[in-house]
Amino acid sequence: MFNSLLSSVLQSTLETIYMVAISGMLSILGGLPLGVLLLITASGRELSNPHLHHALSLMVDIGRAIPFIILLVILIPVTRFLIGTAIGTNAAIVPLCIGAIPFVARIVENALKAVDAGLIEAGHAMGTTTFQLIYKILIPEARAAIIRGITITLIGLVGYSAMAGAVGGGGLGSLAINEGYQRFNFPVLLATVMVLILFVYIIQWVGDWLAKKWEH
Amino acid sequence: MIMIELRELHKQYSLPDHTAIEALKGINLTVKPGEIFGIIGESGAGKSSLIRCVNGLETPNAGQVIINGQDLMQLNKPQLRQMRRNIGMIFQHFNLLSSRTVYENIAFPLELTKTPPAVIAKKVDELMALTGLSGHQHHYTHELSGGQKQRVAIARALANQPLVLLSDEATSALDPETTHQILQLLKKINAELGLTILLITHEMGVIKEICHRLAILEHGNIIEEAHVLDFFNRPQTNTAKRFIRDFSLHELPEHLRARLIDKKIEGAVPLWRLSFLGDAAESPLVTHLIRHFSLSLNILQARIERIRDKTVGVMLLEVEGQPEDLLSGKQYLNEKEVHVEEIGYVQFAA
Repeated sequence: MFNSLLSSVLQSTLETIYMVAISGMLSILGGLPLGVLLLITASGRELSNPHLHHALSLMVDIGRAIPFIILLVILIPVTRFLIGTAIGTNAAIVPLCIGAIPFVARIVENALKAVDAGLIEAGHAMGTTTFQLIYKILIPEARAAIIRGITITLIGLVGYSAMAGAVGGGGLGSLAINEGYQRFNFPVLLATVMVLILFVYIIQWVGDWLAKKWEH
Repeated sequence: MIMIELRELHKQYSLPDHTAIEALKGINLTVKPGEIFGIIGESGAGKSSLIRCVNGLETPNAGQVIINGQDLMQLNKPQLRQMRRNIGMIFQHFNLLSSRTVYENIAFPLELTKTPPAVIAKKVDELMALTGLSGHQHHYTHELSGGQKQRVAIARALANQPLVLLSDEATSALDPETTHQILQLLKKINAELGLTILLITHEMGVIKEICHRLAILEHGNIIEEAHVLDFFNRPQTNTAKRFIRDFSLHELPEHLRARLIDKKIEGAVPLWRLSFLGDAAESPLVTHLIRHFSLSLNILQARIERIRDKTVGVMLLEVEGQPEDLLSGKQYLNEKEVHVEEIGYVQFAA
């Protein structure tokens, strides 16, 4: 009895780690360039293009406006098309990414916006290309703020992944709902919640440590 | 030979309410190779716009910027980037990258041009020795004092062996002692590397200490241009006189400044600022003034100043006497090639 409880909690924990890690990574890969693009297409910036800027901005805001539970449902056809099924941990990664990318994009955009205008001017004066300006000045100078933002996003993803689990995504969320809640298995419910708390704590701790290390 | 030439430079900004502000109204200026040229003006005079036109950070609305024979307006974007690598720039707030160490900051411009790491290492070591930063290579910029930060910025600006160094109020955020050290460093770089320096400032002390020539910028126009020594001895415009007057007053002791008034009133005595080059100091001016013009003098201050390596005598006198005696006293001093400026009046307690 105890052993089977332990093994199902462990199994679900690994599934949650998998979902959060993969969707977190993909969200950063998608959100970082999108955030940079949002910044540099704004009027007066390096690649000023107000139409593109407004289109991207609108897309990002729509993405952030849709409640995650609705996003899960309306993305089912997309998930089926990409993964082949709408059930399971891999399937859950699709809505998790789509939900998180707009957040990461805005976080990155705001972090880059906060970089001192004097540094950008110095970069121009030294003859940087737009690309060099982004990856040698803007991103390194904003990295502590970006890390703090990503920490918040990852913690958000832990919560969303539990929600995804409730509709067939697997992981700790599904265990808590199916086993703990619906079958009145209180020890399982408690164990999953404890593991989730530990998750959030660890992510926050690592995020703070990295941000502090990179903040000069 | 000309290093920097500005021809009929105009710059306008449009405000949100669609009115236009003319920041530069047809600037003509030439700076010779190896010269330290200072532009002084009040805030809002257009100094910032002017210096930013020289490396293309601002695009002028009309006119030409010619650096070492190359017209900036004729360059496309990649060519302009290339040109900027020949123009170093330092700033009031240093603008160093906080994510990089001292070493990495100085190496930055070399990284941009894909310089091999071994060459970078050698060059950065040289620059750190030149700017007095040796031993600080692993420090981050937040661990440095203001003066050290500006040294890093200077080393960074020199990394690509530029033809020209632009200095945008580089000492305005520093205390007087650090300002002096940074100015001496700029002077040394100018002498050792023959680097042309164009600087903007609102401080007369900066001009006096290192500039060969200067221009006064007022409301977007250059209203006076001179060699520094001539400027201090024979300022032409009222603005120039005011700059020098404020500068001399600034050096007066507090208790004297408190007694000073602008206008002549009953019972107030004029305060004269005498300045003269080495030779005039030989003749007994003061004795002569007292004997022949029946003036009574009170010497508030007398000192020898160094203006750009030349010796200039400066004397502040309270002068009491009849108006006609004051006038002929002034004439006498002018004949002796002593410049006299009435910088205010001193009122005595009743």
